[in-house]
Amino acid sequence: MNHDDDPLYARIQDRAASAAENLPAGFSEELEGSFTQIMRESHRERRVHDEELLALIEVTKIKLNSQRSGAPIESRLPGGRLLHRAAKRVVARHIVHLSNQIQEILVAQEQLIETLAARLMIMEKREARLITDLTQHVIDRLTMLERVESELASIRDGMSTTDGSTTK
Amino acid sequence: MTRQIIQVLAGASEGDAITNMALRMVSGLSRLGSARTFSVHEPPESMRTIVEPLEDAPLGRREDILVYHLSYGNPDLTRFVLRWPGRLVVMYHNVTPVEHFLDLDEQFAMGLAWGREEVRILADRTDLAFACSEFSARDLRIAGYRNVTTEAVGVDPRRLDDLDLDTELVRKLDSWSPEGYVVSVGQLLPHKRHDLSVSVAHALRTYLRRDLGMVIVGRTRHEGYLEALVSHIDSLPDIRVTILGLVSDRELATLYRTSVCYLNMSDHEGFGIPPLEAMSCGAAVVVRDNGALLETVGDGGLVLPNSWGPDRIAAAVAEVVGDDDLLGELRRRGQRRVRTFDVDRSVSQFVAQVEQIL
Repeated sequence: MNHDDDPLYARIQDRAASAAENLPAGFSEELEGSFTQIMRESHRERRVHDEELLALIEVTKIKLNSQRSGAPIESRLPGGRLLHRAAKRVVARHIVHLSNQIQEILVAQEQLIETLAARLMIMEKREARLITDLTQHVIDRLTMLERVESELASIRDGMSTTDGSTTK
Repeated sequence: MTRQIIQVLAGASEGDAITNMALRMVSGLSRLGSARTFSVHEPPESMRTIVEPLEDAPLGRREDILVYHLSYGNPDLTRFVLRWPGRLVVMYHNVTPVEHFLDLDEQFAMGLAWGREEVRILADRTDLAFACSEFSARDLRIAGYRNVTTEAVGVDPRRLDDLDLDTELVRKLDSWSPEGYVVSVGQLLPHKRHDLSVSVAHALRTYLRRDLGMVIVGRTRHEGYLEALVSHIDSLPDIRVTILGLVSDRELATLYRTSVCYLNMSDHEGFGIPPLEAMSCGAAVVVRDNGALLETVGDGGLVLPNSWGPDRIAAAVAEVVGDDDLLGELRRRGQRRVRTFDVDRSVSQFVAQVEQIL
């Protein structure tokens, strides 16, 4: 099957080819090149984001694991003043260490959230169009409802004036 | 014990062409035994009663039949198919060439590469092979399949015909683009080339002075492509494009019926159901000569050379939409073309052939 055998389609193609000659030279190549560039950049950005995300997840995992292995679940210290004092020092040092670790985890989590937020921003950009359309649709509906309500109110007013049943 | 006939798909979803084709085959296959449909990827909640997860599939017996809808590669699925003890029927929907994804999505590209490999692996194991188009049948013959039947089994281009017009959507589109709009339908994947449709929309408005909008419809299958598509739209001045994403069947029918023209700029199609549905709904169809599009569309639509860029394509669209006689002729031809497809006949012929290998 070939369209070249069909006079109608051959005519459209000829007319289109000659009409296209009036468009700026290099127009198609420029558009195609521009999109290829956008695709490459978008792909590179996504890769960088993915790598950052994976690295942060890895750091968070390592920190959580080190916290788990470093913190004793229970401690049975024998009595005695000296031992208690030494134990107190060890526990205090351990608490400081734990606190530092938690701080680091929080920072890592914060970075993770920031990266996720950046990804969400990109997603939001492309969703924005759809959301705008939807919002406009909802606004249209609400406006229509408001109009109906005000019309109903004026009808009600009109009716109450007509039958004289309005009370104060 | 009743013979079991199972159909297996890589994935199932609402509005998906392959899923729809498989589901239309169920009643025909039920004449040969108990027919069920399974999907490797978890089917959506709304489809659980008609499509089951593959892990629930029976292991099969010698008298059972597996109808495998091949469109993407998955090693688990290949293993399942190779272990199937009964008859194997391959329904080949084509696998997108891997080069479209190599630099963009390695994982997806791997699946496609495996799909192509799987076609080769299953050649000797297959009892009966079907392809949706002659274009796809060639892949099977090259891979060593014998007696390949070319038949678009379960394709129903008229499925949207009886749906009511969505008047609310019409009102919105009219106020958005009063002079009309072109519709581009297909999954949001790089090889579907919605970006080219956008460039065409830009050329139409900027240089050819056609005040037309462009509506892009399709499920998002590749987020990177969607991001790039939005950036492409944002980078072009004087353009009116909206991406509606996945729409309901009623909305899709409305878009086809009210658009001035349907555009398919795809680089690769194993068949091409949207252009047929568009024709059936009365849209004038313009496509590029890639994959199976020429043989699918036939003389029912304008098929442009695949070497044409946005300038010539836009000029062709301008020629079509600016001439009422041409538009009318194109629409008539489209309607005539869809009448050559008969879903019941295709399923009956398919079942009759399957019956012969029992």
